[in-house]
Amino acid sequence: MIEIAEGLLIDKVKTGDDDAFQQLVSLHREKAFGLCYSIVGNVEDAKDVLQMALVKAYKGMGNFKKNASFYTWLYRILVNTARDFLRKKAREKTEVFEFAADVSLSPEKRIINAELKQLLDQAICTLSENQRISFIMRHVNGMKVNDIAQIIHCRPATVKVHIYRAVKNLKKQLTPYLTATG
Amino acid sequence: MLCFNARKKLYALTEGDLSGSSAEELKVHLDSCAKCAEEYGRIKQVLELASKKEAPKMPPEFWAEFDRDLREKLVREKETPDTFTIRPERTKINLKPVYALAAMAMFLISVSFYLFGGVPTKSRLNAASDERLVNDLLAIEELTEEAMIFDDQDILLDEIFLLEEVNGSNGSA
Repeated sequence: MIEIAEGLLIDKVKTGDDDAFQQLVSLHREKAFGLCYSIVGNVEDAKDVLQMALVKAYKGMGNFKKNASFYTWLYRILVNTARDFLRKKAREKTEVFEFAADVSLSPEKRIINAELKQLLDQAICTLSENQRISFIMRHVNGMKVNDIAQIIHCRPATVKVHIYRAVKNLKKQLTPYLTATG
Repeated sequence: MLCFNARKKLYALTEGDLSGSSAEELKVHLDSCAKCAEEYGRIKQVLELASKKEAPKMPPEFWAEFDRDLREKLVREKETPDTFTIRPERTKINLKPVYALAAMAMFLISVSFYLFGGVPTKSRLNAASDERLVNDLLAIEELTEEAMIFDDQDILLDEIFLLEEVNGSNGSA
C-alpha cells in the first residue's frame, strides 16, 4: 500500500509537484535522519546533510526508475552526501558528537553506558569510511547487508568484509573498557 | 577446532551466517575455550552497544522547521533555473555496437595501411591501368579495321612481319 502511494507520489514529483515531494519525504525522513545522525554525530549536521540530500534527490528525480527501490536510491544519495560532508569536516577538523541518554538504566549503569557509547562513537570515527558507513547501516540502523551493498555500490560479500573489519577494530579499541565493565 | 579458526568465525556466528554444522562446532569450542568465549562476549557487547546508539526522537516542531527550511531551499534553488531543473529521465543509448564497429573499422584501416601502405591498392591500380586499357582497345580496333582490308589472313601476317622487320632494322640502325 505504501509502495503504491510512493509510486504515485514519485509520478507527481516528476511533473514538478512540490507538495508531493514533501509527502514523499515525510515517509522516509525519520529513518533517514537516524542514519544521518549516526554517521555525522550531531543533530544540526544531520539536519543539514539530510536537507542537502533531499534537494539532490528532488533534482535527480527524473533519473529515478520506477522499478528501482526508492528507499535504496534515496539512501545512496544520502550516504554520498554524508561522505562528502565528512570529508569536508575532516579537512576542517571540527567534529562534535552528541549522544542520546538511555533512560531505561539505573543512573550508575547509565553513566557507564553513556561513557561506553561515547567511546564507541570515538572508535567509530577512527574507522575507514566504508567500514564506518557499513557498520552504522548494519548495526546501528539495522539494515540488511544486500540493501547496504546496493547503497554503497558493491557486492554483499564486500559489505560483510567491511563490517567484519569494523567490528574487529572496534573490539580492539574498546577491549579495556569492555573487560572493566563486564 | 583451533582458536585461530574459531575467532575468525565469531562475528559470523553473531550474524547467523554459519551453516548448522559449522555453528555447532564453534559453539562446542566456545564451551571449552574461555578465551574465545570472552572474545565472543566482547563482540556481542560492541554490537549491543551499537544497536542502542539511537538517534534522538525529534519533536514535531523540529520537523515543522525542517519542512519549512527544505521548502525554502527548493524555492531558492528553483530561482536559479540553470542549476535547478528536474532533469527528464535520460534514454540511455547503448553505444557499445558503435564503439565495436568503430574499433573494427580502425583495425581494418590499420591492417590495410600496413599491408598496402605506399603500394597502390587494387582500385588505384585499376584506375591507373584504365588509360592503358583504353589505348590497347583503340589499338585493337585499329588493327581489326586494318585487318578488314586484308581478306587473306596471310597477307596480314606478312604485313606484321614486314612491320617487325622495319622496326627491327630501325632499332638496329
